[in-house]
Amino acid sequence: MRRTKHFLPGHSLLRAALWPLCALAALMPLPGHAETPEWPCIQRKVVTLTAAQMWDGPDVEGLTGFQDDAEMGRLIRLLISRATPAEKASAALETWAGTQPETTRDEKLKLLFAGVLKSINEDRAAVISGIERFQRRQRELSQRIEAQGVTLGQLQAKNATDDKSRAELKAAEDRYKWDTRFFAERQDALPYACEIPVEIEQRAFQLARDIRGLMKD
Amino acid sequence: MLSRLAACAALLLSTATADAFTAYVTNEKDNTVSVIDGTTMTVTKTIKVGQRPRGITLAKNGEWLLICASDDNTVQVFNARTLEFIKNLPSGPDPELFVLHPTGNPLYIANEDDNIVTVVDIDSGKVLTEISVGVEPEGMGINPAGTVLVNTSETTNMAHFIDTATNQTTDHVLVDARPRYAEFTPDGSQVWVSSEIGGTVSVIDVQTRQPIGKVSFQINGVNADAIQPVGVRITRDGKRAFIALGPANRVAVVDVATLKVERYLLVGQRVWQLAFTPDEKQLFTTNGTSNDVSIIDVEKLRVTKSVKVGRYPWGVVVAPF
Repeated sequence: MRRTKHFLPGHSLLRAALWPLCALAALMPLPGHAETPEWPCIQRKVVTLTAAQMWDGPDVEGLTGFQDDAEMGRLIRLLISRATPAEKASAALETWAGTQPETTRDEKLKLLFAGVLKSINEDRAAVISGIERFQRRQRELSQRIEAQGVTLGQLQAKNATDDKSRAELKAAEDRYKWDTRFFAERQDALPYACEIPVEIEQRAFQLARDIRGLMKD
Repeated sequence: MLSRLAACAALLLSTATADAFTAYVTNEKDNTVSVIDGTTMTVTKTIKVGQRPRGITLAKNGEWLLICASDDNTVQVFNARTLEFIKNLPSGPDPELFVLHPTGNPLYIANEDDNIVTVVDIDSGKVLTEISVGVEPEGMGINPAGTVLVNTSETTNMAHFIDTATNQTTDHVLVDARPRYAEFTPDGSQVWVSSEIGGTVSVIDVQTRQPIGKVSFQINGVNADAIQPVGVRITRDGKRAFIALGPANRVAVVDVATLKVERYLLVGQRVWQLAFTPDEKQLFTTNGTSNDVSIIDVEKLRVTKSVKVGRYPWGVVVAPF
């Protein structure tokens, strides 16, 4: 009974002792992700979006002409920015298409899609590597918590009687408490982070559909 | 003159009635059903339903709307016209898909978590029996005569044939990985079973219970593992099949006689289930990731429209009013 009062309020040594296990369990690679151990999301890791997933128009493989058109470049950045609401993106796209001569409009729209796809893939790749970095840090953190749990157990076993020992125990408990809370909060945020690549994919699909819808053939 | 006007008005009215329809879409993540008016092709109403609504069908000549509320472990019954809740039906745990007997009763429900098919009388609300099947039952199809029920089990990778007179399984046919849906041809001679992971649709002869062919898919630029067949619909004349291909974002149009794909139609993201309009001129597709339904012109084989619905649209059914 005496030992428990030094640990996490409301719960007990058991909870503290179980935390590292919980942390580790949460970090276990999900089934089916053996080939991508750094990928913590339930959603399958798809690194690159391909044109065929969202486009039934002319082939855009290898097109780079969008890089030579500054106005198109600005439009691409606006369209793919997650800060741009979907309605605003659609309106900007329509306005731009309306200014294109009819004879070259389809060609320009094709180039625009090629540019959107390339830029959105770059943006998405950065998000994916960010999630993996996050996962690596969580793994390191869980290892640290595990080690802290062992230290804490050892200090508890000493059954501290003097001030110095009690202070040492208190400091170890605080560190442990802080790190477990930090770990848990980050872990709670993970599902939201995992949704971002999906949201980008949704945006890519909608843009592809809008661009294709403006083409004549 | 007046009589001519009256006749004209009557004709217009009857035409409008004949073309009228309403589509209902379950939104798995929102716990709602979107109601789409067939004339305007817009969502006119969104109703709150039970948790994780997936399978959806009509009963009582279209008057009842039945919904699998998977996480509430029940089948909910709504008035399809007024959208008022009528009652819950017992469903067994985690009902995902169901099929109604062609006579209108009973209802056969796949219980994903319990490896059974629950048979429910929709009038009395009583469970008539439970039929043991494979692991993770899902797809449910019944032949037009109502004598043969087919259930697919996702993990066992089988199509289980059930005699509806005895409610006993009689045959088990191995298909490709993770079978999700079973659809009989209108003449009842074949049952088509889609395999999500296998990426194929197996065609099984109902009389011999032997596989007689397989539909395979190939889309340039799309990885094979993204081609995940789920929903299947076959036209009343038995000539064409439409197959939803999940994250390939396409519906395959298949010639039933040759089992060859005629065309792939780009719809929305993660296309899941399908439903014809009553005149079979249009086909609705639920697109789980793009949160919309696509409408396909069945004759021209073109996607004509997309309508935004709730989050994770899953099932769809169309009523003739």
